[in-house]
Amino acid sequence: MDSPHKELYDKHILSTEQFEYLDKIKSGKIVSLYIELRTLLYLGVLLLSTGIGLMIYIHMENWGHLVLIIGLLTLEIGCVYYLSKHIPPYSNEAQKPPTPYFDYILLLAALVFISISSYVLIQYDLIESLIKWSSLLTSLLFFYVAFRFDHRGILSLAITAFAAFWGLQVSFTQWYHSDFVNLLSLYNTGIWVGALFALTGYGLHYKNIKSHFSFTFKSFGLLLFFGSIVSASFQSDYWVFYALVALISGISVAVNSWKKQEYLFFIMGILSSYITGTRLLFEILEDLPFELWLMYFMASTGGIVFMIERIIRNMKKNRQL
Amino acid sequence: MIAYNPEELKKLEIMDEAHSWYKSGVIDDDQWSIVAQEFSSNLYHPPIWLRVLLFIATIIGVNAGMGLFASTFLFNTDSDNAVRVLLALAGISYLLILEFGLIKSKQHYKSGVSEAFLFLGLGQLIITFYWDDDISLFLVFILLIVGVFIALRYLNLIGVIIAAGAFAYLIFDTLYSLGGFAQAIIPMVFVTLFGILYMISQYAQKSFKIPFYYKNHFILIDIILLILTYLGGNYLVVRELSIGMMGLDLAPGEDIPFAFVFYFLTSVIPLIYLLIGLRKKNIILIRTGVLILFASVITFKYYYSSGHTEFTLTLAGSVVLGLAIWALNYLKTMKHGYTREQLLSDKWSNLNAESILVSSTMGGNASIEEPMNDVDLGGGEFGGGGAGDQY
Repeated sequence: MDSPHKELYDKHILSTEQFEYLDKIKSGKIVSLYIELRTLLYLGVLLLSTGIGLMIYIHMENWGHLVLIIGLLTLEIGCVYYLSKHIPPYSNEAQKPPTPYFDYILLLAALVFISISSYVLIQYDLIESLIKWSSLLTSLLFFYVAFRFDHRGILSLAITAFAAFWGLQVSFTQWYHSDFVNLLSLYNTGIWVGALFALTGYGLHYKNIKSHFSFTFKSFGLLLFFGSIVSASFQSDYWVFYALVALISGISVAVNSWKKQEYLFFIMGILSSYITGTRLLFEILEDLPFELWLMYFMASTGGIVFMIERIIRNMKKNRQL
Repeated sequence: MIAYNPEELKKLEIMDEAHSWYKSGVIDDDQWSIVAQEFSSNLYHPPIWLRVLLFIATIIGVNAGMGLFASTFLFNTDSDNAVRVLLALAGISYLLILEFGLIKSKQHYKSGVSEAFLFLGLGQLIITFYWDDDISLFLVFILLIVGVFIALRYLNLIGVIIAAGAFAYLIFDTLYSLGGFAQAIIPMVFVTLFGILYMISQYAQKSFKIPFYYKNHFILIDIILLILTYLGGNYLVVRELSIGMMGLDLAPGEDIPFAFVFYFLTSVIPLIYLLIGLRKKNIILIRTGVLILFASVITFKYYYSSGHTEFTLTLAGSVVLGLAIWALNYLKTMKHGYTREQLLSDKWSNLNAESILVSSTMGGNASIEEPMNDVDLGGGEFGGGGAGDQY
């Protein structure tokens, strides 16, 4: 059988122009190094800023503060100068960066800014008193920068810094060793901050302001919200209340995300409502024999599997998918 | 051999491709809706996150059912054999359900549900036959065959990985148990054997018409073969395995036999991959080359560290950044068929992954709180000094 573009061309769905363009790509006559070069840029920025951070930490005593601060400031000013030279006008839409380097220089500037501010805090012994406020200020600044320069990396830095201000730790890649016990005592804060992020995400989408930011807000927000409320429904003395809220919000998030075809959030909603719902059932039907519980698990998971299959087949029939 | 209808798979492939063209603006709305109408396949193949959910739900549900069944029929049995028979029967019935209930009559294609039945069924069968045996070579051999089978029949890519791992293990174990000279040449055998296999795979892809649904299999096989070739000659791997498994005793200042060969291979293989990849415009070779180039740098750093991580990181960062900026400038206009622009993809969506990575480099407040504790201690001492003054 032919390759897809050939087949569609033979069926006169693709124009000759389109076919030739696709054929050049598919046959390997043109190769895009877009992802490779961007990964290298990202890696370079990461290595460089980590190296600089370590350098300050290790050599603060030996090198004299003036040298360090001048070096850092020069780098920061250089970045800011480059950014200000190429700054695009603000827009509510997603923007293509003005130069290929723009996003990465912005990221470098942000990471160096963090280095400078922690350097100042350590140097003047202010860490103890100001660390909270400094992360709040950093997050506010980064929120502004993220919206102004249209940068989702900075946005997630801002979100984590804001959560850190409340003493929360949100991480997607480190969930396996993130301290959930730590989260337990903070579940109320987690619920509020998570809900705030998630609602911001929905609001941005609804108001059409930077709606491509909505995914970032929602993924951090919903993870924090559901993580906190599910642990609250196991830990708190008022767990029934938390479990009910988790059940209702889980189902509504699941329904809403299904409509928008955001299946990651659908899973989050389904899982947390399933866990808390089962917990509630356990409490109500305490004396039920073991076999009936096995039946419950069979029937409920089977129900989910069959329901999803049914809905998807229906959507396919109506050509919605 | 294949469990699915190739024509339906073809439709699915066309839809996938056309969707990426549509997303990157190559084809317009009208064309996309024509494609979506004409090439709608009857396969049940939900989006990836749903598959994850369906997989988990099916595993829980099937195991609950199994538990229910076992608790009714085997409640008072101590006999291992009864449990084994039950496991085997369940395993076989899962595979039958997969084959006839899901794929034949309901057109499931990698639906999450089908993977759950496949792995549960095979897993239970393997457990039945290896009830109290140790992991033997025969089991590895079975895994090799099962891996190839599910890769061919169910297009399961995990099967490719299982088969490749089992194959490499079989070769390693055979040479290792022969001892003596055979042990010493393991690295060389790996480098040459997998290198040759890679060339055979390249040749096969060029000269035979491989069905389109095995395209991804060959990409994965190529990557695995390239990495195995490299690992066979990697200095760190050879050295640590020689010490750990072959009882090589190294006095300080001593090096493994033929060390220069492995230094040479460790530094040259990545460059060979990169050069050939760039010349032949083979993106898999380029990507693997870059990946193992970093592995080589880490290998050399591991044994010849300057003790100044901060300088190394800063220097490496500057070099990588400089290289990327140079390449981006160089490719401002297309050169030798290479471009820095994105040709086909979802325009912005892949940035999501990157933004999550960025945040993980900061690791929430953990990194900020650590120095705080240090200073806390310092503050305490300072306070104590103040009190001393007062007395």
